Amino acid sequence: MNFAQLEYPVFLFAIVLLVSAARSALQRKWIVLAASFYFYAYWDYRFLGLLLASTLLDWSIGLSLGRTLPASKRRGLLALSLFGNLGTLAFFKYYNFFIESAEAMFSRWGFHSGTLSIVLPIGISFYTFQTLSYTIDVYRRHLTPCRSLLDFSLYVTFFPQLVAGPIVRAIEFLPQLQSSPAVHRCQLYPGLTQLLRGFVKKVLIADQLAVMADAVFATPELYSGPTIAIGVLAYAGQIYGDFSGYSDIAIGSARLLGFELPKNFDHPYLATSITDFWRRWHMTLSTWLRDYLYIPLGGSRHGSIRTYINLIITMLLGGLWHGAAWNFVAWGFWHGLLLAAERATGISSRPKLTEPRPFTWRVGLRIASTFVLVLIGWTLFRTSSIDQFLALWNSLLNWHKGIAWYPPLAIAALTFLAIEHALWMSRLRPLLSLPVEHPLSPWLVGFALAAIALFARAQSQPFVYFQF
Amino acid sequence: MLNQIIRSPEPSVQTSSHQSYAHWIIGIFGSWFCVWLAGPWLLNSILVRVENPELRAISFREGDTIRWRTEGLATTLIGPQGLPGWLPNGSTNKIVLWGDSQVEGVCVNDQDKIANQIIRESLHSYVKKIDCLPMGRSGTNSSDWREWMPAADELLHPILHCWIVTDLSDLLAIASPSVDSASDDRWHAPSPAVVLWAKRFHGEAFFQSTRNLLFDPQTGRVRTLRWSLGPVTRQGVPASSFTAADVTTAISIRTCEQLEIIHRQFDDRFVILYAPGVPRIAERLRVDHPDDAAWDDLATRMHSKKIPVIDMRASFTARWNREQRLSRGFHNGTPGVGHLNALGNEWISKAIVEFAFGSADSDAINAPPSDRAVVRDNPANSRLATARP
Repeated sequence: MNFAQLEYPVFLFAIVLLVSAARSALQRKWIVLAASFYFYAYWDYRFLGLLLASTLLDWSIGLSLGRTLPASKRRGLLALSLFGNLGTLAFFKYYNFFIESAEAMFSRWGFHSGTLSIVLPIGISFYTFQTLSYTIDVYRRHLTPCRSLLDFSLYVTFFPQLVAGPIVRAIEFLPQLQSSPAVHRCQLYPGLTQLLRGFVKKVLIADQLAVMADAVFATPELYSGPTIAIGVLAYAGQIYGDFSGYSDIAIGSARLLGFELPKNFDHPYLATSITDFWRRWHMTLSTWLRDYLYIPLGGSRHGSIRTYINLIITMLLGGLWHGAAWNFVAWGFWHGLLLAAERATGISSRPKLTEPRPFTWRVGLRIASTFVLVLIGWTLFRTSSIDQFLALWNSLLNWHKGIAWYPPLAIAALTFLAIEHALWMSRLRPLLSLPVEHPLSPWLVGFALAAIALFARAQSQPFVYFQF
Repeated sequence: MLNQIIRSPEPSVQTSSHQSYAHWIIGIFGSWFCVWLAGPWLLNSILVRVENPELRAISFREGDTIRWRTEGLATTLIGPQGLPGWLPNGSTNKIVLWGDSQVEGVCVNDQDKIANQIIRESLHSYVKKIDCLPMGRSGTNSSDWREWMPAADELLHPILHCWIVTDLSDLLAIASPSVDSASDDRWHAPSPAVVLWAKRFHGEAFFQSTRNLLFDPQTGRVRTLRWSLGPVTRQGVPASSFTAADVTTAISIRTCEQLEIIHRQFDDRFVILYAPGVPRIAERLRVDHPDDAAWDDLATRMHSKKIPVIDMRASFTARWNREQRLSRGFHNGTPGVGHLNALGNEWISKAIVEFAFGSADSDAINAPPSDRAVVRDNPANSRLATARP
């Protein structure tokens, strides 16, 4: 089920009612688990088996790891989990990519192998990382294994975060199941407003910007330089609105059911460095990569050169996680390179901008320069071939005279995003999360509902991160 | 002041639940009241259709103003006979345009509509005062136009009936209703009372939000929610364009026969203008169109029957090559996609005026598809220059 389709609010409302009517914590868990399986099967029931297999594999390996075993056997169990999870991911997500890449490289020596018609199971990248993190944490003895299959299944399949995150660690989620989560009245308003915020970001911002971004990136050679520049900004706004909107809906939905999911976005376009950007963008992925990839690779413990290499490898694989295509690898490499450069110049140690503060030109310049670097990265991320990438930059840098197109709704959406970011930096930040008793709250909610009802596009775009 | 706005009520000053409910009721109603006030400027107007006994058809209501915001930001005044943007100028030489929403032209302001551009162009280029009536109705096709033409002809005595065809399926519908039966029901019955009521109270916001919620925007039918498990085999939207393979020779022949009948019925005062969406942007800029082969086949037949045709494809493509401008699309839509814009209307108007009053050297008029640059037989040219009173 897609959060942006009309069925979802009805489904969520029904589940919240059922959960609040349940008499025991056990009943509530069963209801949410059944809802999660239905949520996933609504897209395609045939892949439920894969989800169940992944759940059972890591639950049983976790239990085995919980028993004191020799180190070699523990390593073997960990390897089995890695092989099972990453093998499945590699097959469904990367098989064709590797075959095609190998063919492109070795076809002159007679290498030919057919690709397969493989459907990518939705959310596989996300739930694979979740189950892996559980097994690794149990292996490292940071977590006691979960004995209840019900609890573990709920952790893996919890529907608000199942298909596109946030990537929740077992260490964050399983304790919530112990304290018997329930629908709390005091969580209804925060949950609903977060849900509404997510819908506004998705329906009014991301979907509006997608129209321009899709057109400009598809045929950049047709458009004028200024139009392409706005198109690139539109894509930056689209992907932020889309993914952070999805995360808001997920967090809001979970909150309505009595669960807390981790924050995934923190105004990333206000980052003062690329290091800071990754502390604000898809935070659950960046911390996952840090804890389960960068640090095991050696982190910063083996000298400067190894640190830079580790950063680049981590981001390369992070890029590849996003999709099986070279543009994602290039995007990851770009960010890895920038992170390494920042590490080398000391920029990475700049403090994170957290509190509202008066505007200074120095901070403004840092934000602007970081944003430009991020935009360059987005052009790599969005273009599907090197030719398209070059055509885009050729038209942009030559201020090419083509079709001059300035869609007012896209510009309004970008302006709205800019104002929201400016408010977040200023003393007016509380306006962005007013409590229920504030007199302005109902007005803002009323305007948001009206805007969604009136300006939602006839055909909602699928969430960008669904493809990952 | 600023602090007062952003400050939350003090915890010590506990607002009672009654006060809280009152806040919320006032806030929600107040915000929707603001939306209601702004609705007429921000949203498409509610369209009211009434019976027109003179034209023996359904038309817009004379005197209404239509604001259009979906594509283009245009305002249309509904003139006499419920024709959008028509202001009679007293000329006895009348051209009647038939077509779908492209001729209706609510996406562009009145002065940019095809009909008004034809009036200006004929006066400017040929010093001929004519009147042009836009009979286009959104969602209609050639079956409807044919049905409505006799009454209009009887009432108006035009020198020319021009069918503006932007989608080949609209033309083929005359011979094979099964090919495209998308004729819009709204033009076969006046608007229901609820629409009149909503229009009277400027209920654009409520009307549009309710419609968005209750009706499927793709099909226009009442929305149904799906609760079954996937995978879903996606039902494609019925194709509106045809490949040569879809349009059989039989359909092409039948269409041509019907058009020949109409051509004779109206004493040769009949022309078909074909203006598909080319060039189009599909992964790259393309000057071809999926309907090309089917159209070329039909055009060859029409040429052999001496049915006049104006083909805008070459003209549109030449304009792109020369000026990099497209006939379709708006800033609040997508370039090259959607309805004709003011430029496209201008180019079409020039072609119609040239057909009516110009020389026989025009590139586009009635040329066989195999040799579009050369004009053969154009029986209409000289006759229309001396139009009957």
